[in-house]
Amino acid sequence: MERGIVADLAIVKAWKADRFGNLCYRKTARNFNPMAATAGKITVVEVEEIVADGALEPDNIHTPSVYVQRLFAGRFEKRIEQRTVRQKEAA
Amino acid sequence: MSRTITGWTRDEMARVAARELKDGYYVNLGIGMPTLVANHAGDLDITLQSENGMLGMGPFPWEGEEDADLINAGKQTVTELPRTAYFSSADSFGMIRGGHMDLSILGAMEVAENGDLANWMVPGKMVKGMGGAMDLVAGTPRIVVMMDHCDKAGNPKFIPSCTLPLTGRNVVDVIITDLAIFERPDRKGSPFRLVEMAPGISLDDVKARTTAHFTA
Repeated sequence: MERGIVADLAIVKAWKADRFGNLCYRKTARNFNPMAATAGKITVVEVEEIVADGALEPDNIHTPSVYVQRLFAGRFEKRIEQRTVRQKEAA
Repeated sequence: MSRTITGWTRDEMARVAARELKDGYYVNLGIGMPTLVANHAGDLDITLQSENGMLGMGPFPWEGEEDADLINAGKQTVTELPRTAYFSSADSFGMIRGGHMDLSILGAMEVAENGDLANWMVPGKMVKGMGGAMDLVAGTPRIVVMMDHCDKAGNPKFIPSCTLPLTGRNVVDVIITDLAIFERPDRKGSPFRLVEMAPGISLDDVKARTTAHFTA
């Protein structure tokens, strides 16, 4: 059997958290974050917003709080590496 | 390699590759040239998978509607559709390994005459990562390769055996280059057959630029 990876420190970015550390990721930003969160002895999570108790739907928690040891709301610019767009054709 | 020849453009190659699409297919398109195939799906009902964690990938967004959290495996901004589902990359690779994709169209550095594929790294050069290629070739029943017929130095890329580290053994079913299409009927030893050439390209042109064995 393949054993799970354990790390001393895991660093994760999520979209929203409640104060207990339950996490939701947004769209394709989920990526490998849920697995990384489970691997850390200490998992540090940066979120865009810490929401009020009960504001996250319990059915829609991507990472349960048990995996989260540190939590903070960051302030950052969301950058796009490859901006690909369609041009609107003139009507 | 005497005369200078011009085969299909990248977009024409994509149009040719789009013939592989069938109604109802779940398809993974590799980074780069294969992405263009989506522009030629026409009225077919195709669900595109992006191995970073998205099923039901829509076209590029209109200008001003880009979302930093909505990108494909090549980090390009994309859009969602009514059918879209998001999941983790681990679920995505599981989906691929589990054989749930009908077709994958990938780029390649080298393809060998036995169907071996090398498309993930050149020793000594910076490697961005394997991406989903190894999982895709391991789990997907039909693998189509789109590549330039020769590398930038003019060396053939469809060759007797791969020199670069392999992505998978005996996994390629169709090769679409700017000059020609090669196809084999099975993965049990049948050779690749030259099934079509770009306009103005002769059999001698293809032979002069191919070291792999193929039937014509």
